[in-house]
Amino acid sequence: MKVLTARHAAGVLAVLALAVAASVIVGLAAGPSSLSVREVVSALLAPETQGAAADIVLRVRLPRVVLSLLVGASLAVAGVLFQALLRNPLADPFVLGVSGGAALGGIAVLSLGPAVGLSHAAVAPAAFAGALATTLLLGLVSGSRASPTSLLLTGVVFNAFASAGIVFLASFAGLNEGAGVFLWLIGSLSNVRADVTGWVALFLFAGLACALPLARNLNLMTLGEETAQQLGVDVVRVQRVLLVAASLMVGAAVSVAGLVGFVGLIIPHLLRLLIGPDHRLLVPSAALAGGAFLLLCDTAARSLLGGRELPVGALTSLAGGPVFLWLLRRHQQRIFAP
Amino acid sequence: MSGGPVVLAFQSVSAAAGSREILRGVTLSLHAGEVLTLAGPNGAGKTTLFRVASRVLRPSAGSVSLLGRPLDAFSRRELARVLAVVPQDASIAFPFRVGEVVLMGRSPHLGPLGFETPADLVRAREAMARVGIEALADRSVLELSGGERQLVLLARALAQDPRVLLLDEPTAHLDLRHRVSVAALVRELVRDGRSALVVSHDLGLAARSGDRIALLRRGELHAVGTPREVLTPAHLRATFEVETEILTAADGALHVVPKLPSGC
Repeated sequence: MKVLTARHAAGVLAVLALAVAASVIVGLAAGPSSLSVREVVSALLAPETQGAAADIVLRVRLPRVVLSLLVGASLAVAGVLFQALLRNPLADPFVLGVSGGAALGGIAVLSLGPAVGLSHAAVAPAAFAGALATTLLLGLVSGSRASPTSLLLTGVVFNAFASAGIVFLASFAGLNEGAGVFLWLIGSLSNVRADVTGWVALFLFAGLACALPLARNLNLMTLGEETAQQLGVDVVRVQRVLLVAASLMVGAAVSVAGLVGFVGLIIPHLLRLLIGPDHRLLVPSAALAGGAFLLLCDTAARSLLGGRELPVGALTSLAGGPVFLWLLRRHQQRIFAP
Repeated sequence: MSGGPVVLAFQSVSAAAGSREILRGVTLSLHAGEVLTLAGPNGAGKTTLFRVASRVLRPSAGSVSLLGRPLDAFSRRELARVLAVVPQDASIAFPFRVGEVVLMGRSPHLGPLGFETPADLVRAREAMARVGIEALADRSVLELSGGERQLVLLARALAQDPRVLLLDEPTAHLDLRHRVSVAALVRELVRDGRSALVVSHDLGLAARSGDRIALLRRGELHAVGTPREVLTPAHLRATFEVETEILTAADGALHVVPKLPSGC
């Protein structure tokens, strides 16, 4: 009988950590001015060294690499949590409209905040509030026994509403003169700010700290709420804690990167195929793999067009759209059957 | 037999789903070492009684006690160590392996963190062996037939190692051979002091394998007693609104033979 052991879990996580390290090197080396691995490693090992290469690695690229790891991890773990809580392999913060709600919260602070004395630092908490409000609304509108169809349709409507709200608020405050609103809607990591990175890290680690101890309960909850209760899980408490955790992570990611789509769908699904559905391993693995995935996507977004930059959200959505359709087809019979 | 101490007692229990009252003043006791079959028409409240007993649904009136303590005095985990439910069916959204699902039955016995111990694995393997599904251990539950899935849910409940088993139509999807072996397994389980409350539409099997039968009708307890006391044409007419003939097999067990309405 094959079961998950602590040793096996540690092995998988070690491999994924190596993958993260490798993608960090790639992310630091690649870009408009391409650096060798040796230059990257020596800049990392001796941060006090002066020189153009060290400058690019440590001051230009490293903050963005760190940010993309954090955002990717947040989105992937949030995806795992939503999928388990809603027992729906198609749930994803972007598809459900939770990211849209977070973006609406963030843009509200950006556009209306200055008038009431809110600084940029309030964007992340506002995005968290937006994500949490959307999650609660999602529960309210479609109920705890929502069919997958109604959940996804609710998500479609939320997304349309959020996009409209974002454009409305931005126009109202005259924010749409630059490319700012466009980047919020499509998702980009070009706007690196140290204060915001701190928030993202805080929200991600707080979310993980909530989710990891409850991972085994999540396994039981995928069997259904009543079954989980009958196996000793305090379902309501677990749901509350994890919905807050997922909202924290989505809020953090969106507040800094806008609507980066489908990371929470692609990564959990890929991992389930590779390592199985056990959440004790899936949750930390999603953090590592999601970070590496978004970092590589962002590196491609920075490098593909030479000096010009693609928004990373365009890449993840280009990859994620087909994956979503494939999943939909694969799961259709099972989850859409009466 | 029903002479053992009471392990699970419903005292004038009423329960509602939304505004609809489903159970009305049900008083019923399950004794140690007893198989009590719960029968009745669809919608009579059998599954609701299970939901009340496992505290998934709170009664609107009345009380439930388990091993002499009020149900509310148990923590969720404590309750899951004493009482296990085998649901009618489970839709499982993710590709867990059979062994993993059975092992989930150990979770009320584990600490809040961490992994199962070798002793838990032994328990899970034993449970699978008793139900006869060892060969399925590494298969994904998504690939199983309805009957196989039902056996997995039964094995999971056994892995839980409970004093009281609530089985909701455990043989509904099973072929004749598996029906008989599940009925035999339930008998075997109660022999060492456990108790089982079994919802079943198979009155013949209930008569043979159950110590007592309770008939539920429109949320009320219509009759409870030994098969011979309960399986009478009058009781069955009142409960199911069908005419029946009760035959006695060579070994003394009762058979319920329904009659078609005249003119058919």
